[in-house]
Amino acid sequence: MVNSMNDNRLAQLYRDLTARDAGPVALDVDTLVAAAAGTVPAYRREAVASRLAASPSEADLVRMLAVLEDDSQALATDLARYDRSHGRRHERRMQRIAAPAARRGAKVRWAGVGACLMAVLGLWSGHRIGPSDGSSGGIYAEHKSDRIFTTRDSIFAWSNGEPGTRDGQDKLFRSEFNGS
Amino acid sequence: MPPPTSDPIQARLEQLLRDYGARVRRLLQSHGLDQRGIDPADVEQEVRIRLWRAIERDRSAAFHASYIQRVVATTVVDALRRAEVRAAEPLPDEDSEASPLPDAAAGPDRQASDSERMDDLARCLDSIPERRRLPITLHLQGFSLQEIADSVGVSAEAARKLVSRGMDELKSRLRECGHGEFDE
Repeated sequence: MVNSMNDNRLAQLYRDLTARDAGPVALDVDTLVAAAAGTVPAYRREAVASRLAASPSEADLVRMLAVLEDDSQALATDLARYDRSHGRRHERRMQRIAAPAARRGAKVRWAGVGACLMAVLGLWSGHRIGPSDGSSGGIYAEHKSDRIFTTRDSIFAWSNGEPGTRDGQDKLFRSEFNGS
Repeated sequence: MPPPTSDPIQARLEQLLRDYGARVRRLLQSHGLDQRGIDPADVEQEVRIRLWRAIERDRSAAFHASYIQRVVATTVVDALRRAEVRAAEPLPDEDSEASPLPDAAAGPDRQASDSERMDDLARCLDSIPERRRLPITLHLQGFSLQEIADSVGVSAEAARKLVSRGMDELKSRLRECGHGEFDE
């Protein structure tokens, strides 16, 4: 058997060996991206490097991400430009929608302020008129007793034992009623 | 993905995502990830959909390159995991036309020989001190000297020396195991 190997053949053999033994993807996405950008923290560097050396799929992905970095940067720049274009257009559209509503809102606000002012003036003028005209039948006339609840009312006169008031009352309730 | 639009800004966005997706697909193929059970066209489509959704979800957000890189990495990792699950599933039929072996054309002698070589290679690597082993294995995994230097935390020159001496040591040990011929 000829056991001839060059570096490429050795590398292929090593990759086949690690593909057989690597198992599922072990590094998290943030670590893979950091490894591609060369920004893995020093304390994790050796562990991450060991994993990449042992896993051809993760190694391939990290190398691919490293190459893709410039394209991702370009896309991010283009998307920011898109956001600005879209944002300006959105702003203009919102202004077109908002302007009539704002005008309507201003009218309603002024009408509300006017109504409040009228109500305050009405209350204030009523307050001014009331106490100066206490004897009249205005809104301050409640200090006068109502006849329904007065003790002089003829309905309550009998129970109050006022003999003068019993004369001329309904005979049905008179004790000396004799049926005539 | 949305239907084609006459809005020039929207059309420009669709074009950006199409171009980026196509670039991702080409890189997946050129880095051999399509050999690991994933379909580059599926990954391309998934990357475009995920980016589109992210843009639609938050139009005011600034999309940094690292965020886009994470979207790609997540999509590829998901695809690799799905491929692993598929590979672990039992084969549908014994008399299926599809060959379950990736290198069936190599023949049994070649496969036995490779398996023996792999075991010897693993033994020889294990006998090399860790400080030298890591740069060698990164080199064999296809990383450049600068990438090895960044990964290990040394200068590029130091990485070159570590790799060179380590490879010499590895070959020496392989010769001792009977794998004596190395073409440079």
